[in-house]
Amino acid sequence: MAASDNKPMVVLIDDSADVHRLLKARLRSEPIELTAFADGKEGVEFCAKQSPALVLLDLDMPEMDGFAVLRALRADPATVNTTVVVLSGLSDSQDKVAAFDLGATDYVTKPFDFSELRARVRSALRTQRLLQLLAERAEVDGLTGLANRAAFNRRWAQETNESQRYGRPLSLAVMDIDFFKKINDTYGHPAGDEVIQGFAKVITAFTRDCDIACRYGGEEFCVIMPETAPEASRIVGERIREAMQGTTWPRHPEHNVTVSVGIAGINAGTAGLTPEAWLDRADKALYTAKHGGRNRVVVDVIETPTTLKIAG
Amino acid sequence: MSQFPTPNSQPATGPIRSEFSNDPDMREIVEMYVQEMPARVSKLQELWAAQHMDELKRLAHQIKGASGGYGFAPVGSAAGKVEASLMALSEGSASASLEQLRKQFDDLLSMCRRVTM
Repeated sequence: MAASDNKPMVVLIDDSADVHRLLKARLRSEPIELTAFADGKEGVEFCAKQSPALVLLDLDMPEMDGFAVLRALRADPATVNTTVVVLSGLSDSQDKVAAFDLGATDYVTKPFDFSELRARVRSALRTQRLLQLLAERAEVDGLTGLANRAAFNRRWAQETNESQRYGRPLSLAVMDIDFFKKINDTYGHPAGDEVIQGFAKVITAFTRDCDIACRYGGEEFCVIMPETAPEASRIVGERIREAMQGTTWPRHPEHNVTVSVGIAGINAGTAGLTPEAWLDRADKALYTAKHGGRNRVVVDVIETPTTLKIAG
Repeated sequence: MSQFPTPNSQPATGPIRSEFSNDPDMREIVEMYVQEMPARVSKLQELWAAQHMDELKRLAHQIKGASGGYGFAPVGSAAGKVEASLMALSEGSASASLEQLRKQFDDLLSMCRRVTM
């Protein structure tokens, strides 16, 4: 969320300069950062870039009215969940219904009762913060604290898109604990959970902040490595594999745990692969590692016309 | 019929003071609003003379929306009446009369001229 000094950013979209002045004065004591726009289109563009915590939106504007602004916000994935409180002199309940149907969360009529407006701004910001927290929680795996599968799917689509657009290197590692079922069956589920948590710690220790480590499901983990060529990601995979092999487990010191790693990556250029097809290549590399005897890293370098040219 | 209650204690003459003249948060912007009033009055007269009814309606609408916020609720209410009559006239309502609008418009001008800190 964009904000300076941790103050939530509030955007006001209203064609009246008077309303800008009044709200700036009346909200001065609130811990918010207020940015005002007279034009709906400019306001929508700003919101798409800055992801404000709250939009205060006038319905009755000459060029792009508030309903059109609401529709534009809902149409853009970047702003689809933006919290909007509608401001308007229109007291017609039809307009309120229309605004709510377009996703407004609250409604204040002009002329304002400013203590009411302040209370509604506070309340909307409170709700927004909880929703954001919920969204963050929904993307975190409860056992390991890593990103979960939903977060992986979202980030992987973004990263493959970025890589293909700019022809940048990108690698994906898929990792799986060898004979995990045996650990669960022999030492019980708490031991299994401990191994999963331990593996997550090792992955975190050997990846960079810009890498995205996820628990894909069960005993399977993924690491997205942006700006990383396949051979560089092999080094990361090897370090994780070695660290796991060298770990002693308090619940079963006699039993070492190993992992297998499959990597599919690109040096540069455009792979022309869908995110799913790329993940499938990494899965196949993991399969090869498993069938080659486990406790190993297999790397699949995705060839592209561009990389062939560079090689030649 | 305006949706804004008409204050029944508003004198027909004399200064109209802002409810917020002693509010430190508001003092500065109320002053600005008062200073800008002569320009608003000229604009109202100009639009009236040129019979630019749509623009006049818009300006009345803005005054209606803002005046209460600056502590001049009676001005907002007077502007609301002008806006409502203009709207009724443009919709061809039978109850709308130009005579009534003229009087409401004069009331609004008179009030705008009397605002002060």
